[in-house]
Amino acid sequence: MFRYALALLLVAGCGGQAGSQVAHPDPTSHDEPVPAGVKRAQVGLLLSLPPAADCEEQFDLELYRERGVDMIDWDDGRGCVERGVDITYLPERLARPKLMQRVKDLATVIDRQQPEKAPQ
Amino acid sequence: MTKKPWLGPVALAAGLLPAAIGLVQAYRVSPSEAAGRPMSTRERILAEIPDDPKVLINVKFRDMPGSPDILEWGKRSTRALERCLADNVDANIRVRCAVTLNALGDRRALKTLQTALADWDADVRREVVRALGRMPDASSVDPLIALYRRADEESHARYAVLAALAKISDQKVVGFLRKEMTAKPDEDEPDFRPAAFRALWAQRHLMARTTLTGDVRSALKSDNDDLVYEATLACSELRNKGLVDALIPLMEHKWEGVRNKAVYALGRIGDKKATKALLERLPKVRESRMLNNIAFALERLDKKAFYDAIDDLATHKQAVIRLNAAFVLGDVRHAEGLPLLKKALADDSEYVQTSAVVAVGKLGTTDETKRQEALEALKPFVSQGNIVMREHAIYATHQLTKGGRLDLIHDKLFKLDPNRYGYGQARAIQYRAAIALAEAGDPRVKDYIVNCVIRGGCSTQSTRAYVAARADDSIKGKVLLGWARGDYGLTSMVSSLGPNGAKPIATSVLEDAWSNPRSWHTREALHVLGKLGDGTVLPLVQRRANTRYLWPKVHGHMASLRLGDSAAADKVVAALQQMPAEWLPSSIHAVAIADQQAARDALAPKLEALQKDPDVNIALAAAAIRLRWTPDKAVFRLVDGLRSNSAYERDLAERYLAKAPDKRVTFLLRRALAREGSDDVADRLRAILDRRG
Repeated sequence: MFRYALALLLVAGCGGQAGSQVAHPDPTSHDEPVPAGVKRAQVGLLLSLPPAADCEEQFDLELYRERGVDMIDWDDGRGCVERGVDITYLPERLARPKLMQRVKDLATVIDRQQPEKAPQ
Repeated sequence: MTKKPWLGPVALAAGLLPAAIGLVQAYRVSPSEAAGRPMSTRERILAEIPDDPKVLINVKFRDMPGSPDILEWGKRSTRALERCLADNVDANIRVRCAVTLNALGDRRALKTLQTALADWDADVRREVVRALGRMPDASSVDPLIALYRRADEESHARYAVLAALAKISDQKVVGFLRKEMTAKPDEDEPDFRPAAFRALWAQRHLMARTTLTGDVRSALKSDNDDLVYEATLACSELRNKGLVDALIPLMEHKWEGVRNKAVYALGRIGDKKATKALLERLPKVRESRMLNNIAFALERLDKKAFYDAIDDLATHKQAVIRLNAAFVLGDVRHAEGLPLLKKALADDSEYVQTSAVVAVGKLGTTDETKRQEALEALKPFVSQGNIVMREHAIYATHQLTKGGRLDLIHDKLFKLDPNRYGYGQARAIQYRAAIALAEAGDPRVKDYIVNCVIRGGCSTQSTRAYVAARADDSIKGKVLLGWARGDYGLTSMVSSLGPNGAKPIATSVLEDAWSNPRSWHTREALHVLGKLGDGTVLPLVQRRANTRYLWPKVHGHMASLRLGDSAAADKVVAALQQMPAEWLPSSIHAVAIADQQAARDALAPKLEALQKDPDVNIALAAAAIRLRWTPDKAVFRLVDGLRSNSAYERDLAERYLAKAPDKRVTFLLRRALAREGSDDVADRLRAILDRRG
């Protein structure tokens, strides 16, 4: 019984995190490793970013505030236009539609390279 | 006759004794012995260092072994060096011993070093102070401050004290440095305030944000220009809006460096209050770097104001100003700059035109109409008679089409007729074109690139990969020949291609250099043999690893590990623990070179354990090795280093993170920055990302 309650609490916790807006991190918070066993999914996109000298970094800094984003892996290109990117995320913490919405808030999605794939 | 069961083992041991002695002697063999000469006094002293702590007490300078030779003993030389520092009467020798103790970074020498602060020779004291900085400890604070305060202390030793205190994180140090930073300098003494500020800046994690900002603000207003410069550098990292008022007047500072750093910091801070001052400064600019910094700052603060202001510069009467304006328009990478750049393309000056051509290539846009407009604007220049302008126009077109104009690079640049242009210029243009084509995997430059790589003319990671992907037996043979002739830039190619004959040749190179285990030949041969993976050479490699010298030991054990000897993993770890702190950063590549999964599997858990070593030099080196193999896992130890209470550990972690070559580390650091709650750690992460570019 206790085990089920704990599981329910954990699920609720994950769901709450996925759905909430990310606030500015508190002074004690920092990046933490995600256990290897946690399920990951990946989406490949072709994006154009708002032009700036550091457009790629600005995009990353905003999107990484979502703790459900595990890795943003850019292609070798330069500049802000038509950049390929693989985004690995934790589906149990961040639902795909929510991720896509965050991406669209930050960039123009030119194309989806793959519908969904497992991370390398 | 009574049975003697012990007789057998004893007889066996007696029989093996000469062999064992031989082995020990082989381990201790000196270069002169290997060459059949008797040992010199210096070699004898060197050989006795690990076993005789007194060996350096009475040594004369002419017989004193060099620091690199002593360091090859690793931390086994600490005791002898301590006695040398305490008991040798020759100050020059004591200096060398202190320098060597500094390189070793062995904390066991802490007390001896603290005692040696009382040395009568100022050069010795300076080196002792530096060594104490290598092993930061709170117990050194009082003696160091006391030394600094002595009226008769030499200024170079006092500078060394400030640099050492920068590494010892302690509130007492912060209090002392804050006081020194504002102390009025004596007339006959150098002004130590900039050095005190640098040291204080290293301790910024121990200070309240408001105190730190207040100290930086007062440093910006100092009468010491060096201190002002240091403070402007700090402003870029702090990014505090409270510093803007103090930074604005510095745009008029007499030092160019201060002016530039002040503008750069204003851009980084991003407070709109600076816009007016930046716009007022713009027409007075006299240096391209300043123009660039103002443009970047303005572009962040007020885009409209920037384009209005740059319009005036782009149409200025002086060509050099128009040229720089075009450059800036390209660097900000906005398509809004295209109308101005089109004007610059029609400029009477070819220099302004060329600058505009390059700038157009940098513009980014998702709007297809604008992209076509930019390409149309470049079209006339692609067939220009001026070869420099043509070359830039072709690369700009290639860039705007996302790498879609390899045909132009090949036909108009790579196939350039050298008779029509100067031979040197044509060769340089052809070279750049070949590299660009090779990076795109174009097969038409195969012969050029193969010859270029084998001759060492264009050996980069991408060109080597290009050749490796196309290597037939003939190419492999040429690569091996080049390597055998001593071109060790080809080591990675020989290792990965594994041409026929590589094993016997690498074996011969190793044997031929046997009397010189510290040579490049030994290192490169071990790398090749380790990668080839042929276990028949394992006994030879193991014998080579059985040396007193640390480097061949590391290379040899790594090669053994790669050849399947998993027991070598412990020996690699033992060698790392013996290694001088100064050498550890160079050991990263030597160990991380192992790309065989079995070797990594054997070593990775031991390195993970080593990350907890109390000696941060060892702990962070282990993490830095793992960062090359599994960056996602290893990055946390190094980011934890940035969070350490110790300024020394923070600086070391920063250095490893800034230098890690994998672009994935950049992505991981961005993630760390986005989630970092501590202002100080976030500042550090941002500074590292800036350094990584």
